[in-house]
Amino acid sequence: MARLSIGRYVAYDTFIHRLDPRNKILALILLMVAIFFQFSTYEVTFIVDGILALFIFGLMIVSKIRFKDFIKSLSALWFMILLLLIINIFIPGPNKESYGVAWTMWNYDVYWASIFQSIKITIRLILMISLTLILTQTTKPLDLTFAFEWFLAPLKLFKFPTHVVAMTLSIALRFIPTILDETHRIMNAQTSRGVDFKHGKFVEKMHAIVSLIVPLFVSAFERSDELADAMEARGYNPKGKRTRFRKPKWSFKDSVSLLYVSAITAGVIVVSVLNLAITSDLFFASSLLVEFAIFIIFVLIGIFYTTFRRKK
Amino acid sequence: MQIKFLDVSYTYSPKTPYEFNALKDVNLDIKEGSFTGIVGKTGCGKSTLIQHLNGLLIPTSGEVNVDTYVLTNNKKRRTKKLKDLRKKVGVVFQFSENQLFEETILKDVMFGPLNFGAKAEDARKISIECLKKVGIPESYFEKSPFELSGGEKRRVAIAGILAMSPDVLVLDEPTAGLDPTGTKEIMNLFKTINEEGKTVIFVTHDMSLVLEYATNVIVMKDKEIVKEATPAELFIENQEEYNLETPQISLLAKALIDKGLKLDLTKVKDISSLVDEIVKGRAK
Amino acid sequence: MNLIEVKDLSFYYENEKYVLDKVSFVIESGKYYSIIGHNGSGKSTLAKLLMGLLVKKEGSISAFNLAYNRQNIEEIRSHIGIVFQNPDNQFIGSTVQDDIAFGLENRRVPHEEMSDIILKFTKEVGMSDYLEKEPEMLSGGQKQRVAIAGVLALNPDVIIFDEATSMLDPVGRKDIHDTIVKLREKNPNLTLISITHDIEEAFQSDEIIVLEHGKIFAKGKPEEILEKASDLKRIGLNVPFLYEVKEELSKRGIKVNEYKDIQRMVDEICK
Repeated sequence: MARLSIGRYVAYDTFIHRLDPRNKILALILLMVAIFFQFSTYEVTFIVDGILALFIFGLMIVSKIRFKDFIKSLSALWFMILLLLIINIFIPGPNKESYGVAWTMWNYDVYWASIFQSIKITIRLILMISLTLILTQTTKPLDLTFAFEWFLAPLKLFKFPTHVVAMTLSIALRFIPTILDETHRIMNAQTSRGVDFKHGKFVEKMHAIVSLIVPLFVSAFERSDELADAMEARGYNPKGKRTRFRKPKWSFKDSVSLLYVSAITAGVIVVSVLNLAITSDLFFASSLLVEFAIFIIFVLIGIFYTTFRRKK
Repeated sequence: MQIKFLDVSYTYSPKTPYEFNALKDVNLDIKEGSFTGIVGKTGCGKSTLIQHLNGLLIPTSGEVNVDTYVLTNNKKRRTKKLKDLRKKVGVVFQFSENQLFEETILKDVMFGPLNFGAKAEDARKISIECLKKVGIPESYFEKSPFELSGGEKRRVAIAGILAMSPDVLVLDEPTAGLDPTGTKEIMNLFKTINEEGKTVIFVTHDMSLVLEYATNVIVMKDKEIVKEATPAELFIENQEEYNLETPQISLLAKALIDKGLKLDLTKVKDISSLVDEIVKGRAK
Repeated sequence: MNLIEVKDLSFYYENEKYVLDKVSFVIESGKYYSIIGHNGSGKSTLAKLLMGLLVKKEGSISAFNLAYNRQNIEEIRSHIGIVFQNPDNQFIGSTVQDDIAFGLENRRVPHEEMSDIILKFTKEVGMSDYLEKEPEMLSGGQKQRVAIAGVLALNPDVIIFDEATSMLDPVGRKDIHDTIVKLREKNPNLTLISITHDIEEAFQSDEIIVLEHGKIFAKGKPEEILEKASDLKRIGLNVPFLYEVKEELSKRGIKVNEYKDIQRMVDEICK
């Protein structure tokens, strides 16, 4: 009965919930690109990251993500932050001295740059996790699978069975809660037979795990046999043509919001280019410009492709 | 072994959005040597209750006493080593056939006793004894448990618990999915075990099994215990308020009484005892 | 009209003894059949053969005048639906409506028609308030009702229930039973084949087929089967409760004729 609560779809009816899953995945990728762009000074970095953070937290409020869930989703991060800080402090890097020494510890200079670097990565990780949280809490796994299948559609040209992959994925998602329940049941049964899953020597632990894994596998195989029968009985043919019950609709608000997100990402890139140019790293700046051009083309193709596919 | 529940409540995932209260102020006294049936609708808290019997769950509030073991949220009073308790209270879960995993049937039955520290020789001896008791022929002992039919697997799983030589045997819907013959065989097995002096506690939806086999019955409804009685007492009164089905025997017996036939309902357990009573009733 | 004809049908898994041994029967249109027998008597294997999920080893089997083979199987399956035992392992979609849609998608029903069909058949089984619910939020009985709706949505002529109630609690069992009764009232032409352990239910059907060790042990109307009651008991199968009471009474010298209705039986005993 204990269920995972973090990252699971929460059925509200917000603006974000209603967006096309394909749009949400594209926007997620765009914003991730924006988040991980580099700048030459920490001042600019923190200003841009701050603006992005405001935007993303705005999204979280709109999609009704509870603050508690957000904090919980970060719980795995604390250890990483600590690790980052230690690594950044003790590993030498270029231009470390530029912001001066923060303090000296047993004759070892701790630079501001190391601390800024750790803060920067932390902020970016938090933003990234927030984005994923928004995606998974506002989008049904089934819709995600659909979007995934849709993006893979070009692979059909190479006879790649995108539909089968998507069907497999959605069945896997459907059975996660069932298998979790089953795991719980078998653990209870083996605990009652004297197995201790928490303590014990390595050999004992291995035996305990075997006593859990073997029954789980056996029952998973039985399930898949029965499932295959049930699917076949209802006329499923992986090679056959099928119609669709669920058809996500790409609406005007999807186009607008995707353009909006693209603009943000474009803005971030422009700032980055200018920033690098000002600090006279001209070669790096020009290479970024080329990347930027490629990126814009990619976005345009993406939007064109979506619109075109919709009309078909 | 005395089993006592004192104001036991249990809540799953407390203080989360998935918080779920499954037991509410349960007080209970299961007598040593009894054959106790626990009945009630799905979701009434039966499964949660039996998981308290061997310490898989610890009460959120209140206290469970099994023999000298104390299960409570109070860390000072609580018994630390629950493993010994699990040896004394053997629990066979629903669809227990899913718990088999060893290469051979005999090894699987030996798994429990070995976990509880029995010597290999002793574990082997008692496992063979228990397999014979549940009716698995010797020629099967070295077979893989996965070659067996569903009903046979379940009997092996039960042997696996019996081999731990528990004082109390707890069974969660042991007859679910079995055909009538399988049901009868397995219930008769539990009856024998009970007659050997062990306390047997079983959860079931089949009221006729309660009437035929149980000496005591506990009725649960909405997370609470609403009735403790003997089966005859339970089925004499109108038990529809507990959302239970009436066994066909009781329905027939009651209809006969309504028609004016004098039957002693406390003696009616199965068809032959009913017919005995009808014969007596008509003679009067 | 004979919908399904089975003649001398045999089946065995590799290197094993016969699971079904020369089984013959016909399924007629609009009738309600029950197949009873022990666990392992070959009942479920028979259901899978009827569905074309297994391929016969010997004998012949045909449905709607089509022999079971690769070319015909899709056509045959469009006439026959099946509800399996385990509620979890036949719930394919991630919500109730997706699960019913699964079959429709396979049959290439146009997208525009699906919602109406789904609504119609979820209403028929009383699940129309649960369209967006996920399987883990439903009881076993509710899942089985969804399975029935999924089968009905494909508009079959025959529905097989393969121990569809054996994993359910009494509430779920009654649910499914009531659903089946209603179904029969609404669609008198629907043919039902119920593989079951529930002897009381079996004796409400038009015809009973008793399987034992892969062979047909008895076959006929409930009254005809009851004439062989002692044989049934010898192979360890139950007879309906009231019939057993009647027999016990007659052993003790109390003759009663009624065994179908409890009240009439009581009247006769107290006469």
